Amino acid sequence: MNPADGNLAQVRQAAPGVAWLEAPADLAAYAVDGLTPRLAARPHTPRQAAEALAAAAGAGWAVVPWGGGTHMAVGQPRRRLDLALDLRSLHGISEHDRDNLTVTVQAGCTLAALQGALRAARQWLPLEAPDPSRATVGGVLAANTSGPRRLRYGTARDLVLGLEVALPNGELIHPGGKTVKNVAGYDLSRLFIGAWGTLGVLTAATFRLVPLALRSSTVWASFAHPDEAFAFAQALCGSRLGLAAVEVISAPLAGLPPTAGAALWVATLWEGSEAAVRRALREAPTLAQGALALGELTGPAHDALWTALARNGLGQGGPGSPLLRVGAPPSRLAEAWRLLECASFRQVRGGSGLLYAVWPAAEAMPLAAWRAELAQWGGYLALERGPLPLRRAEWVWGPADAAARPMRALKQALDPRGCLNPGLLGEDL
Amino acid sequence: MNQAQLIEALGALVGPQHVLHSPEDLYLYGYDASLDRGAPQAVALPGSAEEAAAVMRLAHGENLPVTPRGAGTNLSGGSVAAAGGIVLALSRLNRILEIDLPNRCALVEPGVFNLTLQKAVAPHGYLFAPDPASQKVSTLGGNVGENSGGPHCLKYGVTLNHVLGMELVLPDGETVFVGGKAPDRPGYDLTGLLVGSEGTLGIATKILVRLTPQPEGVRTLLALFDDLGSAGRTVSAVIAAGIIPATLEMMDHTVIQAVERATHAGLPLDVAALLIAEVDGLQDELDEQAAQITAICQQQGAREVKAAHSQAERDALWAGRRGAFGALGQLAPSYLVLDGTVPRTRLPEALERVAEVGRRYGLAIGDVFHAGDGNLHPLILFDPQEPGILEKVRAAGAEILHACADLGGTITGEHGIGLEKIEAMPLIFSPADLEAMWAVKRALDPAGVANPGKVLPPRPPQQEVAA
Repeated sequence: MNPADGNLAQVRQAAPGVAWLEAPADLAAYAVDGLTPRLAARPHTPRQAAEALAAAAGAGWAVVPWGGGTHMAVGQPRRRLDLALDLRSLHGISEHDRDNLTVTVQAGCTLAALQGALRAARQWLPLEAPDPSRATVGGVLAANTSGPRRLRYGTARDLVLGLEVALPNGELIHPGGKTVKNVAGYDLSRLFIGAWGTLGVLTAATFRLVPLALRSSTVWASFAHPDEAFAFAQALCGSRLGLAAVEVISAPLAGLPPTAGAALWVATLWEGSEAAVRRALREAPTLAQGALALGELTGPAHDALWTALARNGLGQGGPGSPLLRVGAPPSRLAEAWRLLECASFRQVRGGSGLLYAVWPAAEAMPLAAWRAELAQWGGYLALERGPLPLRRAEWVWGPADAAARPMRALKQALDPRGCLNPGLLGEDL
Repeated sequence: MNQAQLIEALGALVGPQHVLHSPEDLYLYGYDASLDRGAPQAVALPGSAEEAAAVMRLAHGENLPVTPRGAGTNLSGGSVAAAGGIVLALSRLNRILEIDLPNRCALVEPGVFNLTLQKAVAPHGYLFAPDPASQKVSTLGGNVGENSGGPHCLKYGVTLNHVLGMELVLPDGETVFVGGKAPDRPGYDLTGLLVGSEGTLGIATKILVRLTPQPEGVRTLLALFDDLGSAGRTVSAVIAAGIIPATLEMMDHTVIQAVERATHAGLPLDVAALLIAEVDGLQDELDEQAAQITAICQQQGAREVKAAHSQAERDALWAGRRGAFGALGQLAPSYLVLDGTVPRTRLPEALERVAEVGRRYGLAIGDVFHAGDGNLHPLILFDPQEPGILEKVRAAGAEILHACADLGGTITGEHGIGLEKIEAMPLIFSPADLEAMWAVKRALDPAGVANPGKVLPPRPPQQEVAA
């Protein structure tokens, strides 16, 4: 007899209001890391999400929260999987307070749907994700996804004012609020951002919004040598011109022309008032010492380029190609670029200190040597995406350091039975 | 461990000359800028992060409370040793360890004054965006502990948005570095959790802060209003027009009176409210933005809109704002300052509610605040000699916090909960929210030695048993 059978009824009974799915065909859609759940739930209210989570946690089950499914085959492979908690039916925009520049939205709303609704009020949430029409707000926050414009607007941690979170104990908590300034109590919302659903299940979020820019344009330049390309990027970051983003890439993505002899393309983004953008377009090119070619993009070509850059290297390699994320002090990005010389595609988020690299599927990666080199500069390397055997064999996030101890204590406090995405963030997290 | 043993043990760790324990010293270190007082057993002033960690380890071993303290400018009683024990004064940790311009960050010790850092980076064309009004005397460690704001949060965000990482002494005395110059390190965002935790989860002994290039230009406007509501509505109208000013500050009639008496800046004494608006950025765009804001002020009924034409005029405007709390001494010997925050669209209602509380209690309340953030600073003026006045002031304060919570806001935007607002926590947090905060507190400070008695209301006894 399968010991799970009894549990199945027990879990269903503990949360009778929840719509459960248990047909094999339904469950197959939620398979991840080679594991298929025993049950799936698609709650229609935050309370139902909390009830389903508590029912599973009470039975000692492992739970994987689901959004758009764009970031599932990620992390250290989960050790167990019993319940898939699909948040996509929680997709409403609860409140868009236009004059307050805030929005409260449920976790299952896709980023694209949210942006579409905000655009009508000439506002937007300055958060980007590789696949915004599938990626949900909850997933974007759990993964702490960011895009090129983080340089200007920050990341989720800077934009979230409050959250609604279901905890394994069945409680729905509301850290933060809807004011830009708020120092009441612990800011627990920061803890759930980037936690990959290992501490709680996000059911809603309140964000700070910004007005849509009146004008947005690209200045690009191509270079033969990394030193010149990165000097250009650094010069812009230190200038007062009001740079919104600067990306360095190893291949001319959408709309950028190939240049003979070029090995690096630098794309710079200027957004704001008409006068400010006009000034930047005039002055930015003068800082591009040693450029082989220079140009401007506007309109659809400009939009296509920044949409492509927001993909963070996704889809650049063939199937099974690992995608690496390197974090480094911005001044070390040229060195990080050289360290990953043999990658099939590289993209650097200048000023922010991130490098995404796609590695050829069949080739071995000297991860330990890279990590040792990066650690000397205060950097790190994470295996952003990769096939299951690779994620099983390697340290996805890197070796644990001293900060792992307080992190384990926090995991133990909020998810004492270890039911949320067990193992995804590494041992005990 | 009795007090003599404690003093000897602390002396062995930080040097006997850096342990204070005379009744006078303990009195001086027993209060901060709030109305609260405490009675510490000893004050230790470590000279290094290692010494600070050693004091924490000693306290943990002896189960003694540790209250971290910077310059003692805390407005909510957070640096008052409520449960006795050791005051860990970090004022000797006052070095700027590194200014790293290529990475636009600086590594500082917690005892560095906010303004000291500003002055150190200004010649390089940079600034540290959080600039609380207390910046001359408040320390960066304190700014981090409270997640301080200031007048420029509207555009630049709060302290949290400008802290990249920190060296942290945990309540058991162990040291870890969280965050760093490389962004988005895998694992939980301990930096984000620790900023604003008021010394109850650990103590920062080194802080890595983000530096921001100075704007090329600034335009400062002063708008005078004959009624408070129009000034409040102007704030929403500016934001709704798609303009994010660097700052939008407001003063009401009471505060204008006090500031003018103290500074003789030439403010008209018969206006109901004034708004200071500042836009910054490229010179090319500022005149147009200033013109837009001027037009909005006029549409909302401003009596007059003036522009500061020189740095001297701008400084004079800001001197009035920054000195506003001090100027209130002209009107009353003492005040209680609150910092409830509301969604900025609810500002006019919030101002009415504050005025109504003042009328009902017969208390004079001035308001000088960060209007663009919806962050009120009602100052309840009183004379502490008047019998029973403190209870009355506190009751009026509690009603104002209630009003802010009712309007969808919060009870503190930048001054912290400390001791002062603990009782108001249930206005905005459910028992489940508070229980989750307690779970985090217990996880990082199981012994309960890190600034006990602050931030979180005591748990009901039955929960203690259930846990």
